[in-house]
Amino acid sequence: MKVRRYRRTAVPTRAELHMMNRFSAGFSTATWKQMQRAGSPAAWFEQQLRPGGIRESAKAKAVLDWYPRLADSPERKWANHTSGKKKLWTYPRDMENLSILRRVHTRRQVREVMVDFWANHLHVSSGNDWASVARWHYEETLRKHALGRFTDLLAAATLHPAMLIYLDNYRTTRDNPNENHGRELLELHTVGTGTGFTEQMVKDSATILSGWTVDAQATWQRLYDPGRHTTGRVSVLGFTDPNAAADGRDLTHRYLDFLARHPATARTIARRLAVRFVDDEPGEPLIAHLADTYLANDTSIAAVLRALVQRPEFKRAFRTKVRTPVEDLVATLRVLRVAARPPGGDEQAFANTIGWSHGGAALYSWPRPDGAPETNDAYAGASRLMASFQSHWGLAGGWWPKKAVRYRAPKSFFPKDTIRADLLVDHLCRVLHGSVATPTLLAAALEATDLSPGEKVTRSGPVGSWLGVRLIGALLDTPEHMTR
Amino acid sequence: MTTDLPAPPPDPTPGRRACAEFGRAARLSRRRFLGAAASAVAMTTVFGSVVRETAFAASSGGNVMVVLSMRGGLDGLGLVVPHGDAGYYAARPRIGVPVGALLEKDAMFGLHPSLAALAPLFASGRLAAVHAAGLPVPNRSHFEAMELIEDADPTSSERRGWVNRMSGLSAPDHAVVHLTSTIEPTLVTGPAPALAVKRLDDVRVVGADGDPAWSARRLDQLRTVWGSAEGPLADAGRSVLRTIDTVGPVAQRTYQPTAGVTYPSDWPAVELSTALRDTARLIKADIGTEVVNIDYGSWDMHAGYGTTEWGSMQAMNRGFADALAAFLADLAPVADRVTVVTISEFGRRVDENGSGGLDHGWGNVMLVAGGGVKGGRYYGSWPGLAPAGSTQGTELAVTTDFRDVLGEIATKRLGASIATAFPGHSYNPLGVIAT
Repeated sequence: MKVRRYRRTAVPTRAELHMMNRFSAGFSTATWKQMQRAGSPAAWFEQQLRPGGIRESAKAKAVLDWYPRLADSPERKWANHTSGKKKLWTYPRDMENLSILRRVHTRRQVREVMVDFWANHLHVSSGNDWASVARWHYEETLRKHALGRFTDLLAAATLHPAMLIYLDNYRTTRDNPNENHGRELLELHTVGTGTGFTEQMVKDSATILSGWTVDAQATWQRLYDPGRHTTGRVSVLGFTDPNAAADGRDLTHRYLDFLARHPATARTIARRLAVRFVDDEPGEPLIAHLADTYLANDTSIAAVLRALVQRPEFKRAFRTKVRTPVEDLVATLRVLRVAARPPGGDEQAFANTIGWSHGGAALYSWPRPDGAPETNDAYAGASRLMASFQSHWGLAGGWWPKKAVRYRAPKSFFPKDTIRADLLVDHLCRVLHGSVATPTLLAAALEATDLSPGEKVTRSGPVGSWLGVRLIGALLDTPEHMTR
Repeated sequence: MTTDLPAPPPDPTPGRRACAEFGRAARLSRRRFLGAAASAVAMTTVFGSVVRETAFAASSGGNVMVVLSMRGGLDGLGLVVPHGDAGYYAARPRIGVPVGALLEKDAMFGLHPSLAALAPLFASGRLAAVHAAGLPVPNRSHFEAMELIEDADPTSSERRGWVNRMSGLSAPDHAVVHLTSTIEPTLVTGPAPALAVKRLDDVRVVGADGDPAWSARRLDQLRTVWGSAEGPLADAGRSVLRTIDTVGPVAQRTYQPTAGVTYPSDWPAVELSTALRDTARLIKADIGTEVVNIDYGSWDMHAGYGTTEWGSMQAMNRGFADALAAFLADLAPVADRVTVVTISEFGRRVDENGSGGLDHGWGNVMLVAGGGVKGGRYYGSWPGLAPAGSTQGTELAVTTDFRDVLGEIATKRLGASIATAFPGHSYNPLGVIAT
């Protein structure tokens, strides 16, 4: 089928679209304009690596105030939990809703992408209620270090109350350290099992961490209790220490810095970044290059990302990654330009319910400490697709959530009052996908709507309302929209 | 712009009924056709034309294997308690289960009291336990141990699960179903198709479940987009097109469990309960589902394990037992076709830690229930628990390879071959399953 072009609706270049797909929450006119003003995708990326220099959008700032209880102190959150005023398990839901809106609207797109990346790598599951008292501050900590040095990030995350609670280190006792945190620190957060660390090293890792605890059910602040610190010589992958002092704090910091700078950690971070931003099976040259960059730049995350986007492997990998259900939802909200309004105290408001609509697992809810998968196969099943289809149509039709939100009706997507059906399809592809219609998309869109290519459709007709929902839904239920 | 938009015309039921009846009428021929189509797709896109595999079965009325994957490292010693081994009580001064509380005791073992709902099944010979089972070599990483028990093929570096190998490339998508999440666990991962779905009700395509003419246009549109799509979502898109025809009608029918059966709906039973209820729907619909995996847990009790009165273990045990008992009762008319097995990536330490919990260990218990099970007894060779305070032996050694338990069900109930399911394994069945 011959595709007629609606050229009046401009589309980004492939390089611009690719950069938006990978390092923002997806195509949007706002981000595209930001990129054009910067001069190039590379220049935009460079700006993004210094988020402090980017003026935040009014909407992104406004949404922070829509969840006023998130900023409460852990002590207050605990008091509200025990009094029944606000239960601990409601905070992760608030955080998810805020994260979704923030990803839609922020002008600091790369930082939010990296906050999500680190939240996965250094995962604290919302399944742990106690950790939820500190989960908001934990995320702020990840945000602060998201583009800084990994060695700083690792220390801040490892010794954060949320992590100390989640991986049980806060309960560890002298001479009988709880191994959970010591093991996952090695296996997941830093060097990985490929290094062949032994069970004794796991015990030593736990020994080093022993003493770090949390003032649970009181202030929830981190404490160091020498009475819980197990002493005695430790040896982990070449890091050795007599560990004779009751105060192991300095030892812990030296150990974490050692792990952060370990070549195996460099490869763990390099590989995870490559899987997230390039390809599910990144080649050895790419991983080696990123790992070298990491070690040569004092564990600088920005330096590694800068190296990554310059690689040919990155540039080639156009639309080869599957959007997660949350990413799909955020991308959909952006292209449909759905406008959330302040929720007030309304539980049913869009801003308080949108997290339920993506059909996937809730953000932060992955039940194990390894974090939600970064690979395509985890998000490429039939039922996942069906759930995202439902989400697309619900938002295109404005069916749900309905309160405190403005949806745009299909007629508002018309470029003019009367237009040929095939030209409308091309225009919609440009608006929704950031790229032109293909013969397949045109054929499918016409099938979905029972229209012929040359048929004139009008803003005030069915395509401007209910039939337009089927048309937009059909174009969102496609590889073009569901990959990045 | 407006806030409220008109929804499309409401779904008239005739379309739905027509669809369901067509599904029933066309089932056998369609399954054969879909099997061939799936096989052709997989072979051309994954293997070229050289590989030929056969599904282990694809007929209605066949046996079903239900795998309950107890995530997080189940404490088998807290499910089936070795009360006859003094090392158990020495290692667990605070959290050991008193012998007087145990159910269905023999000289060595007894069931945790929170498994009360399962005791009648054990007594009537429909439930068996295999103790000291697990990986032949210990691995205390959740993630590596899960890979090892679910990939279960030391002869190949290909990441493919044992269920996937058994299933074969020509099986329909729903021959293997994973419930509780849309993410496939390793045991079902691989080139053969599988359906991963949180709840059965999620199998529906928006825009294709109402007016027949518009539904047909919707499906035509999806066929056009996904039928020849390339890229990382292409297979999933084609799976949608098949699944909506096969499983869709089952998902759209309302389900009534067997009279008198109530699935528990409270925490922590509810997720398992919902998944088992969906499993019963699939089995009773008889559309050719042969293996179902369900994830249940976390059993990762580094702290807060508790006693028979409080804590995580008694709560999780009770949830598990109540849900499984309801499922087996619900299956009543077809119960003989269905065999349930539990597995976990590793057991936990024998000795409790300083936080009133248990760190990662090795050997574990596997429960086997339902069709073909020679139950009412505890299988396996007990290696003994070392006395407390010894630096060695603070975990249960493995004397039965997990593949010997899974392999019995796979071969005797589903007709699979050990060489396919567990390549390189020297098979040594215990006789838990009747031949």
